[in-house]
Amino acid sequence: MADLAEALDIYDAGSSARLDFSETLFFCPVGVAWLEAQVLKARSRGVNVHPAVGQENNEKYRYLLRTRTSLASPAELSTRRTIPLQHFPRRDIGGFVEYLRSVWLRQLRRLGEHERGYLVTTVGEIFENVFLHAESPVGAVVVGQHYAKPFSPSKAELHLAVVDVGRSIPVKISESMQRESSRVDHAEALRVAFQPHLSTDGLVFGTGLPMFRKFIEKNDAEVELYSGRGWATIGRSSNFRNNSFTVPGTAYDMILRGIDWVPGGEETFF
Amino acid sequence: VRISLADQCGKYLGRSEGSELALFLRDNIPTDQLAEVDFAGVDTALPSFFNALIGTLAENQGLPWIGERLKPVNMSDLLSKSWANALKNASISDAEAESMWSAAEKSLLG
Repeated sequence: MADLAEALDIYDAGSSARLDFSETLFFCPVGVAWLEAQVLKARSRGVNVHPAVGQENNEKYRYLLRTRTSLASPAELSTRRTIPLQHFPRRDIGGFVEYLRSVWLRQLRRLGEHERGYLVTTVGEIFENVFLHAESPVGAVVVGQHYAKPFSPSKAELHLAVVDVGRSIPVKISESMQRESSRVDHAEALRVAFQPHLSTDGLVFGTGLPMFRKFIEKNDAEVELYSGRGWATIGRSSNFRNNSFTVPGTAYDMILRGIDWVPGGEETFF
Repeated sequence: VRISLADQCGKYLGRSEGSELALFLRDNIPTDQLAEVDFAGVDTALPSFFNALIGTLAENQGLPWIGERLKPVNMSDLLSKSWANALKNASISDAEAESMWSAAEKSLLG
């Protein structure tokens, strides 16, 4: 992820970058959202980003079309399992809420209104952070995916990736401490950001990410995130560590599993 | 006085709406009156809405003011929980907050 960001940063306004997917083995949802965010960022600097010639029959490239990235148009229709990508250039809580309800959660027909509201509200907090804390120059890119497990429906997964290219969580925390971000332990910064009462802007009212963590832990879900040099997984077990590379902004990959959190039902995602 | 949130701030509420509403309430509620904050028509209110609303009011007017002057009405269970959580957060004393930050800063700087 960091390599692509660095590679596109080298291009000047007016130049052209062509992306070749012939060696790409796999795209996870957060990879798709990350790619789109980097393309949007490069384009906002005046760099022309296009797919390389001859990608038409490339399976991975076709997946990017199905997710409706901006690399080609018209996009193919998304499949039942591919949840189309959506770019939110501005803070539009209503638009995000409607995307979650009508697109991301559309298969979960038996999910109760209360649980739906709880889920949307909790995830909405991440979206709010993109605009209030990260101040991402291209806003937020969101995409999802269903992973079916036909012989074991309780292990089916629903992913949601939310990516921004603004200030990372560790950078924001460093700013509120008035310290250079290079002097702050980025893994520890992520740990602090998910603790109750400590927020990324140094106030005691920070509850967005801690609430999100509580939701994840209570519902046997999982979130993996990259932010600055920090990496974390939160869920069945929580791990925080420093990477050898730095990503601009924050990339979340949230995974909801099976039926455990669907009240009273044998609901599957498909 | 009854304040319709849907009319005042819209159907979807986040942190900026919470801060703006707090300042509106601070400046517009007469000292001898109770304000009913009406959630009818609100689709989604993020936790940061409640934190900004109650946090800003607690900082400006104090927690007792919120209890005596504000009465939330037409709230779902989810919204009631968020309101209660925000009140709980705002009740943390400055000394407690300072101590938490000081411990965090030590770990952040290694």
